[in-house]
Amino acid sequence: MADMLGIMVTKYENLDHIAGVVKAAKAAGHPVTLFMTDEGVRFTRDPKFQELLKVPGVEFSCCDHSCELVGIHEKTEGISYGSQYNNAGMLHDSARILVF
Amino acid sequence: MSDTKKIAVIVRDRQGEALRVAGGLTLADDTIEVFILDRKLDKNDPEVATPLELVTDIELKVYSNNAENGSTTISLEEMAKKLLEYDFAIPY
Amino acid sequence: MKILHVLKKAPDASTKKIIEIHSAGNQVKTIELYKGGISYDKLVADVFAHDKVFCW
Repeated sequence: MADMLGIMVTKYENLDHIAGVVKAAKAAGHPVTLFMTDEGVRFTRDPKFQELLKVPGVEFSCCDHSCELVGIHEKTEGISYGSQYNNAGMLHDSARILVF
Repeated sequence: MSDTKKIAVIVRDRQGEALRVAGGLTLADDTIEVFILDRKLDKNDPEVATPLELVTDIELKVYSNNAENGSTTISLEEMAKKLLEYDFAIPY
Repeated sequence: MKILHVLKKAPDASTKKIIEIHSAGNQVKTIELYKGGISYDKLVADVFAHDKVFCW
């Protein structure tokens, strides 16, 4: 299997870059995992970001604690609501990491 | 899971969150070290002090190019070179 | 060593200095996302073609 790309999203910015990288990495055959934390969890409720959830074979998760801090209480299907443990696992298993 | 990784968390403007993430990253048994770049940690802010206490309790190595931070002081040049020893660097 | 620096915004003085230090004795490439015109296919290929990747 090709090397995994991990994408850590810590800000509510750069969606075009994030989407571009996710799609390009999948097209190149890389497994992709994306974890949102801090302000980055705002993407969980962003309709444009939610389009990315349709890209097959990408794992999405976020920090539930960050969601509470920024006041996001609704869950989005296709995103796993977890903790920094998800982030730690993503970094552990990835060959490369991009931080947005 | 793969072999143990070495990960550097670089603390810049979002100090509390960076320290919280550094503590959390230890959950996969990787080696996590912290680099405080330029700024002095705002230890009077509970949002910084609490995760800093965690980082201290779990004995993460902390480096800074700002001597006021009370951690191992290294120059920016030393920091730049040291960052190349890690599998990943997470600037925060 | 091949090092990739991905810049999401214009680099501050310390970031510039770190890139400058890395450039001595290493093969360094910088991608300026904030300037636009990015090929994400090339970016992903670069990410995996470099030993170290920094996102600033």
